[in-house]
Amino acid sequence: MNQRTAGLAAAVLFLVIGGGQIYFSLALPRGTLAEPGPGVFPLLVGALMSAASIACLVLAIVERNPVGFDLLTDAARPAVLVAALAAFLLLLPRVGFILPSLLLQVVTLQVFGMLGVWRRLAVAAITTAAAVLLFQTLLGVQFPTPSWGF
Amino acid sequence: MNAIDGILFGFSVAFEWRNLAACFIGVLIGTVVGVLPGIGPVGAMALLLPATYALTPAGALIMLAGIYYGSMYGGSTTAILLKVPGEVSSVVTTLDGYEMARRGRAGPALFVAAIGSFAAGTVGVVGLAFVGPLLSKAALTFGPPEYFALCLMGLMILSRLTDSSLSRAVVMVAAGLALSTIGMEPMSGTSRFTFGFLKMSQGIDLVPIAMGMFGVAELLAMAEQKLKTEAPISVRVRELLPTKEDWQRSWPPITRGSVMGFLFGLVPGPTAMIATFASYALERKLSKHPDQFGKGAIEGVAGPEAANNGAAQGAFIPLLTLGIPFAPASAMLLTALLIHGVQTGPLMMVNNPEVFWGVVSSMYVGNFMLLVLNLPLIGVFVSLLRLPMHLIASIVALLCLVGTYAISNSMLDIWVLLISGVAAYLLRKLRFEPAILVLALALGPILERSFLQSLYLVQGEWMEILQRPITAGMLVTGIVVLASPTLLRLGRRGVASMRKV
Repeated sequence: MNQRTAGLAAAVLFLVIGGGQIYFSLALPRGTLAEPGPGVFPLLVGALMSAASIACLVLAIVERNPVGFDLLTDAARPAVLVAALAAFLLLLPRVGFILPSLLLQVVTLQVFGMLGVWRRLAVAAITTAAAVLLFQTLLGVQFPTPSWGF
Repeated sequence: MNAIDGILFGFSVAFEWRNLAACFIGVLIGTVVGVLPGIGPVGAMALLLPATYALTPAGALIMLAGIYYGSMYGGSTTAILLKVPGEVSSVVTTLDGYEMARRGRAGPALFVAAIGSFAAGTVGVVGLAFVGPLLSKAALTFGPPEYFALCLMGLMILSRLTDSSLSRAVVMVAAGLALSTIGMEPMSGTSRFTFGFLKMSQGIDLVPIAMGMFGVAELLAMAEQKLKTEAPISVRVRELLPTKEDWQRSWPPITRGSVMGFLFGLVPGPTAMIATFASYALERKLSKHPDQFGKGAIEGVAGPEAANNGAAQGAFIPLLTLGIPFAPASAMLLTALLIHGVQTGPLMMVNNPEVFWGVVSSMYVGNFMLLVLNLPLIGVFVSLLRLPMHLIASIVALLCLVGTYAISNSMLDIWVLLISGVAAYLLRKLRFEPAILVLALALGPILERSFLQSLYLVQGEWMEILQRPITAGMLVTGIVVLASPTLLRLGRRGVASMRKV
């Protein structure tokens, strides 16, 4: 993706967020200058974000040598890592800690370049056991309990 | 309590065995975090926040502060032995430190780095003990308008001191402030931007966001390339001692770097890193051998290493005396103080002297511990670098998730962690600086409260705020810093046109 396109997209996104902040702030009481209400500060922040986003938008348009980066190639492994982290979060309340942790470790070890499926499984099992011992047994962290009870 | 009595009282607190243990654990973890790339000191502080619940407020702060300044020591080890800065403020050390190591002089480079950090730590403690009470006393006269101006000045300076362009920096400031408005409004208690989620009425916690932006984002950046474990240059304890010439060349840069670093630390932003660059440039200018810089000049290690530790100590002053965090690490310490129910601000020295003086004196104890950890025990930390990087990275990923969950057993917190991590990764690609967002999020509630209180105080006559001398001085300083590149450009043009005439 061209840096100019990405910069434009980011500026537009922040402009939308700033606009949204202004819109929702207007629904809050603003009071008077002597007795300001809860809507005043967020309104000013929204205005600041919108103004700065417009400046970013202009900069992205007029920038002479935008640096390019290949979002797809660069982001392939990070995307797998994000998916693994999201899977951990989705599974944790449903099946407890052990299975999501094993899965996360296997995937992250592969993403970070560890070779060999069995080696990854063995290391994942050891680190998960260590995490259970440290967090659950020693520090008393209460992970969600799975419906089948382990 | 005067400074000497305060330091002595502080030592009595720091030498309580629990606090001594907290200090040791803090500096040990700080060194490890500094040595190993990945999680960084702010992430480590966030991760260990739940572990401080069992400690006293002084113990908690002693441990977390130890992680921060300990990482400054550890960061130099990888910079010298691997040319990989373990921490961002060690980037400059790679220039001459690694060159020294390549020429078989890793020992003196590590020794001078550790001694420089220790000297800066000493200057920092003395500075904190003497400047802290003065500033605290002055701050007692501050009203809401002064706090408002101070926060605003901090944000203006921060916008100029980072790599981002001004407009990108302001977007990050606004994004941080916008996040801080989620939850209850400080004066009336009205719920804002919660969209029906009860948990959000308590506001967005700083810890998951900081962990995401400093921990998860770093992991995502690391995932872009397959990690390699590189063998560090080996170093033996008997090779550590520098020669007489090394000493003679090192002590002036250490002295200058310590003072310069401390002063930089008082300013908002990534000042530890800026102080190292400033110190390097100064030493190169003052050196009799400027040609040796970049090829293994010991001054290029001594000055910057003292400067980064000096800045780390100086950064505690705005937090401990005014209750205002000017750096992401200070924001984490503020969170810890609030969790422990300590009232921050100038009255902290009166109401909780054990926290202020205990932390100040513990820094000296901690710096001494770090000297032992980073010189005779350097081999232990060097061996950490032989651990496979893929193993370290995957453990850090699990630690980020479980550590964040453990803070309040909240699934929402780990979702916030993941979302902020992905956001920070993308923001960095687009040359936005997420650290500004984190700091604005920490400053947001203070800024809003002081802004609203100021308007109530002056009954809406906002010009009265600007007519207060301290307020006006702070705002003018902020504006001058903000406009400085334009002013400099205009000045240069003026000089050039005068020369033509």
